[in-house]
Amino acid sequence: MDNVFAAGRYLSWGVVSISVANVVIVLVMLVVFALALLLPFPSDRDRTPAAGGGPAPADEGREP
Amino acid sequence: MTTPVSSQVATWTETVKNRLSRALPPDQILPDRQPAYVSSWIYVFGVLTLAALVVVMASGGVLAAGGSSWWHTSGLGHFVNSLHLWSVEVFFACMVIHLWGKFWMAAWRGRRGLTWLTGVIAFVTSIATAFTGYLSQTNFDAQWISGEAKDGINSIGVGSWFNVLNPGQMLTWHIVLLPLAATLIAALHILLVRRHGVVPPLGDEEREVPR
Repeated sequence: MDNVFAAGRYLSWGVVSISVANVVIVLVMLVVFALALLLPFPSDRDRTPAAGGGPAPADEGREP
Repeated sequence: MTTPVSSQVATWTETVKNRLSRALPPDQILPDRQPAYVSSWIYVFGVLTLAALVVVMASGGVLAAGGSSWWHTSGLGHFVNSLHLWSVEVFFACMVIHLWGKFWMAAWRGRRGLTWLTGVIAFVTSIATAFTGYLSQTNFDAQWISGEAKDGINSIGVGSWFNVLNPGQMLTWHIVLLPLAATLIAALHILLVRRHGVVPPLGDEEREVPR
């Protein structure tokens, strides 16, 4: 097992210095942000396909 | 002989009640429907931040009750300590993604300037709370961070009353003053979101429910 108390690895660019762990976290957050914009949100129609009734009008709103 | 109270004179409780019901109408504070444009994952990160905050406060309360010797030496103490750290990580990640979404949505539109401003203050208060948390760990990390931070704090002239080398003072800021401030400002932020409604996407303003 790696020594968890060892110094972390850092990336340096001029006066900027950032740990690899923090770079990974920022990249993951950017991926999550992009997915939040791109992935479709499940609608009432997706959850209850057999409940009858057609698609709700777009502006009718939804249960929170 | 008693003087009859005129029905024309409102009592202070009546005045407060009337002002509150005008400022916070029940159908806006506790709505049972939201506009259709809220059906997007980017609108979820505000409430995820709030959910993480609940875990942060609960785990922090347990740590405060157990004390530093408990969280440093027992298995359960280590677990709650890690739960506190990771819920803070999730809290900040969700808050920053929420911030990105709202920034690119220009969420201050439609008289929502105060909602935006309270979000900014909540963010800054949370950073200060996290900073004092790092100083309250009672380990060598906390000692090193406070040693590095003292010069920065002194350079802005506040070191005499905000002494990062004083662990008792930092613990009080971390578990009493700053959480209270963060909770109050977050509550105000949520009330303002409810009062003015969730901001519509850019170009979709006509679908907003009038208030």
